[in-house]
Amino acid sequence: VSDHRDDDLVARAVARDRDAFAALLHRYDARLRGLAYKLLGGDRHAMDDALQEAYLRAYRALPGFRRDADVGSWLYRIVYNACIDELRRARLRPAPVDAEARADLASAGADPATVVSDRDATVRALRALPDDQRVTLVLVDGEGFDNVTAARILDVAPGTVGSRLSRARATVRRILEEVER
Amino acid sequence: MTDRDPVVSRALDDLAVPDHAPGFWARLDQALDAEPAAGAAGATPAAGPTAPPAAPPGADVVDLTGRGAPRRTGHPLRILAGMAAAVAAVVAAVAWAVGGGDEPRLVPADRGAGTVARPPSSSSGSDATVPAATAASAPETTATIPGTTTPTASDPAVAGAVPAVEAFLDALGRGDVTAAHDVLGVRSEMYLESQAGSAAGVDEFLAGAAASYGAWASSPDATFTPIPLGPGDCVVVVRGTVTREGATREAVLALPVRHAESAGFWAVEPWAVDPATGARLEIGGDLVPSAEGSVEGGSVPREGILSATVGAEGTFWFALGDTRLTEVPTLDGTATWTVPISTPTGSRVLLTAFRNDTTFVASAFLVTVT
Repeated sequence: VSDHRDDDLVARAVARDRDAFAALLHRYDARLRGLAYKLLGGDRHAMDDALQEAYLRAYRALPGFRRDADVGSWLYRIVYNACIDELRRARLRPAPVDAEARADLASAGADPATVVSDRDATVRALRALPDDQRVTLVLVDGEGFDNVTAARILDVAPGTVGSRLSRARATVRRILEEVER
Repeated sequence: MTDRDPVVSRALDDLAVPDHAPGFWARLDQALDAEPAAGAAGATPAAGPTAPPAAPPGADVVDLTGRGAPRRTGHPLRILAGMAAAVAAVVAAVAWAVGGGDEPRLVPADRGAGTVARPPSSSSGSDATVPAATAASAPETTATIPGTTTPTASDPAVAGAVPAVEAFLDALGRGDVTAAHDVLGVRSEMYLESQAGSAAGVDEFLAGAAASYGAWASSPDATFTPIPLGPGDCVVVVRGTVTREGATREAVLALPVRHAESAGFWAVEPWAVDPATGARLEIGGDLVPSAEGSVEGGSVPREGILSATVGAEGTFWFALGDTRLTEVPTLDGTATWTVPISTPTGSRVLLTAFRNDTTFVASAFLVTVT
């Protein structure tokens, strides 16, 4: 099944072929996990909850999927929406970056601990951001959308994206630099 | 073209994303097992979705949220009409095809273009009736879709807009709130949540909309016309016979639809209103309301002046049984537009749309041009 083309899998999934649907999900799961994980501030449990919800929504919505659309983009949109819902539901708020945590990270050794600390630093930086700043940052610096496109996705003015990015980047850079010291 | 910050983007790229927790796929399998069998979730769409809440029969005021109780102004020249919302926009055109008789019919988008009957011209000298101050500082611009063909669902600019509206209306018609939510735009979702006070409240709100929008799902003759408002933005006009509360009548509906760049996906924005300010579209001027005091069924003379406001600054677009939308920026919150003298008399669809940074609403009413 995994060797089939997307449109073949979609056609079978629409007909409620669960194997085909699973193959589609596995094909895009890595990218979707990345999106969800970053949007949700590195919360693995929230990521799984959002993806469970998103994949269920996708299954329900499959009968209405237009065959000429890109299934990857379609799933991406559903996951994005599910993450926004998850943020609102869970009222996820940035966890303060406390001094103890910083000290732990700063004292982390080189390889392989450095890898861990770098990841943690990024996660902590993401969590330090308000939701709107984090989502904007992930779309532009994580997913590679330009400011205008991000503005359209977020339904805000491009200037708003710029100001959110500016604040978010300053916060992230500060935390990353603190960890590097 | 990317606007990525090199340091931050590198950190995000290097971020190790964990795999799912053990049991994730098994849990999903169980959830899918609990889903209705084929045919339930994927029920064949009803004949033709439709559904507008804009102006319930007899109502002259409809809250833009779609759930506010209609109220009357008492003033014949100020009529409040309910709307929906979204963002963005530029200009577009409403394409009409003469479908027998003298009444124009919106061409079903999914059936391709039909013959387009276009008035010989639009505005022109009739602008002289616009108050000088308004004419000077709030210039009108008129745009028409290139050529004379009706926009169709296959046009790149609007492909996907009609299916999104169909999916939304059909989902509400069959009571599938989840499916309706899936094609609901972010702006509308945020507004509904702000009004409902919780994410769960959004679904409750959507369930409540089933009686209005959902009624279009069983319309036997609904037609859909996508009207592009620039890249990624569209208003879909739906026209057909609708039965609500035991009464069957011809009705029209305008729904803003927006393209999500990230997903090649169109989302319906019936309530894209700024939660901080709300919005309510008022249509007035020379429009004479119906006997019930409603815009629907009202009349307006050729060369008459229509005014519109949502209580905010932005840009309006007007069209009245024409192939053109006329763009008019607001002045002190109000936009005025002169009905072209070339407008054919008889029953016509009055389409109005408004957009600014936070609000995008659209409405459609059947009115008589005299």
